[in-house]
Amino acid sequence: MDWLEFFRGPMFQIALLVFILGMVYRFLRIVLMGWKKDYSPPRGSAAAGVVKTYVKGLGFLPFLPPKFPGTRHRPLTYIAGGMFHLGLFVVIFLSTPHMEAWRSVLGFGWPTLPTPFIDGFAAMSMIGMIILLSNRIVSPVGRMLTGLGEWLNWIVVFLPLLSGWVLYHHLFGMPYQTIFAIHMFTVDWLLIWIPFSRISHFMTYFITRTMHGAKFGRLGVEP
Amino acid sequence: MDADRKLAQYYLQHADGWLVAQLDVCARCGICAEACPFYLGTGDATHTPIRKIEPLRRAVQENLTAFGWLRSLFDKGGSSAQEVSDWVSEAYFTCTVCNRCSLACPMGIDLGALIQLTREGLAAAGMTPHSLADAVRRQDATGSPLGVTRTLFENRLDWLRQEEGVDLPLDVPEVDSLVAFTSIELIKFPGNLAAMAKVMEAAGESWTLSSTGRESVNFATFSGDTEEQTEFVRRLTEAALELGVKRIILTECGHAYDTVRRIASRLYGLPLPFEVENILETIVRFLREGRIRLRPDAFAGQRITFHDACKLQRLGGLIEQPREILHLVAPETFVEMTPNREAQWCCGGGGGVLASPEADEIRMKAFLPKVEQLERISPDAVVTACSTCRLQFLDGSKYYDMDIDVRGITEVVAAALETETPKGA
Ligand code: HEM
Ligand code: SF4
Ligand code: SF4
Repeated sequence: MDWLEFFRGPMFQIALLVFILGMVYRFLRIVLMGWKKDYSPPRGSAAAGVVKTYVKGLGFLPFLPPKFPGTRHRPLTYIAGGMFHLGLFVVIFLSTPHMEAWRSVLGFGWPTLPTPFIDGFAAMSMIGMIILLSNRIVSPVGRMLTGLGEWLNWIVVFLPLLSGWVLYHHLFGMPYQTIFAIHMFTVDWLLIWIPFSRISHFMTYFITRTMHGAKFGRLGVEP
Repeated sequence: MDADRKLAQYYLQHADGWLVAQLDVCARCGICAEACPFYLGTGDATHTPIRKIEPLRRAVQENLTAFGWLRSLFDKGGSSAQEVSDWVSEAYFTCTVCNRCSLACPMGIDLGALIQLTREGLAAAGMTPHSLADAVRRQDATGSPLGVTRTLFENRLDWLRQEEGVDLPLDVPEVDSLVAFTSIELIKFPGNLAAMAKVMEAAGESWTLSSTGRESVNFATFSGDTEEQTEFVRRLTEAALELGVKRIILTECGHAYDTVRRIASRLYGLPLPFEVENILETIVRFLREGRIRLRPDAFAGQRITFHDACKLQRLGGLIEQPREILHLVAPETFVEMTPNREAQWCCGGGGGVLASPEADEIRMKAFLPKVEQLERISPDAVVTACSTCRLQFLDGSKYYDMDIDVRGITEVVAAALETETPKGA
């Protein structure tokens, strides 16, 4: 078995297993540890608050958080975050090779976007990541909130994007097999890394957003 | 350090799925900083909201995550005195628990509740700053953090009855409403009591004050002392039950409203054996029932704006009530600050900050976003329904040399009351 076969085969299976078990553990831990009930007299509907908070979050661009009025953010941070996530999702779900990978896991497929589009989204995603990283290096708040974990997260997410892009463009004249193997290796690592890191927010996000919407909805405040 | 371990223990005992999810989800993006008046007023990254829960985050990370566990094999942890004093000052002196950051966080992290939990741990480990701890002790002993004893309270009422010629009923059983003031109003804004008496009389409400349930302020909410917090609420609710009233009316105070509602429903379950009403709701109720009317020309020519208080509006949902009232008394000249309602900039004085001398300098900096907001509309008067905000506005406008009137909403309403027989008719 060569490296490519190993990273696509057994290693991928292991990575997937770690990912799934890890995320199930994270989810169950939160649910089983439970949370306190809010006893305060309700002034509004918790359910309406939940709906509103998601609609607001998706209002502009997927995964671009709603801008809170009077938050004097550098808009670039918001936009870069949106570029990165949107690009990432398009690449993961709407490119043909990735859909094929999903099909082999899930058993069904879906229509995909033409490759040049995917190429653009991948580039957008990487540019977004570079902007986010520069913000972490340049701004004092970013610097303070960036530790080893954040650097590792960035690298672990950036490498599969970069290697996939190199793969598509046949850059650097490396043999296709080698780059493909590198791409698969970085993907395996990403899968293993996610449940141990803050990237698991792709799941926890839905828990905390729901709690947030319910709390402020109940209070009668725009979430 | 022993207190150190106690602190971590408290957090672990209180760790539930909610806490784990909140801490797991943070992307360390720093967007919350831009929502905080203490960060904006100082430009100092150390005041980023998510950093104010550092001891809490650490306790959970070190004990409830895989990497924390791995690290603990090599590093026995522990924290320096410097770190601990930094935790205390960040949690108590640079945060009003205004919840602005909670609304701005893209992940929906409930930072306000996390900071409150951080304070609770610090209180349980005996790390509350002296100023707040002393005020809580004083409230326990005398019934008020300002030391307003029962005798002092009764004397003050007598003085007001004489001075203002108003009716201030005390300990009358079986009336509809028990009104609980704050001792801040009693000492600093006695006009609020007189105004309230006038509004109640005009509306024909049957009401009373109580000599045992006379204080609505709860300094244990600020310090994070949950036991005393419940005790202070109980004094008030027991007075209400004893008097047999239908509702407790809380006057111009933000945290009192939030605290009483929350703790009372934990004590008695829902529905509560009495209603908990804020003065804003009371006034709107009187207006809707046609029991009082307000003159639209009461403040003719004066530009009036409203400052939303964090515990009444952002966390209490009493957002449209003050606007309904102010549109009646200043229909032409009511102006909004931007942003407003739940996005309103915090005054920088709440959550115990105003009561901590250590925070005197920084709370003036936290007032800066407010200064900018006000300068953009240059109003003649700012109205608020929270006495802490009012104190902060008085201090802040003096500090920044701004010519602006600061008023409580009850006094505004009392001054605009339409009397049955117009004078000189
Ligand atoms: C439903 C799925 C997801 C949601 C709702 C979500 C949401 C967010 C939000 C709101 C932020 C912070 C604001 C920002 O910087 O844009 C963020 C940051 C981040 N997300 Fe996600 N995310 C999701 C999935 C993912 C996935 C699948 C990955 C990686 C594989 C990822 C990686 C990151 C990283 C690395 C950051 C930090 C960016 C920085 O350096 O500031 N996210 N996410
Ligand atoms: S805004 Fe929310 S996710 Fe971002 S650093 Fe602050 S608490 Fe964490
Ligand atoms: S609750 Fe208010 S004062 Fe405290 S950190 Fe958040 S925005 Fe700042």
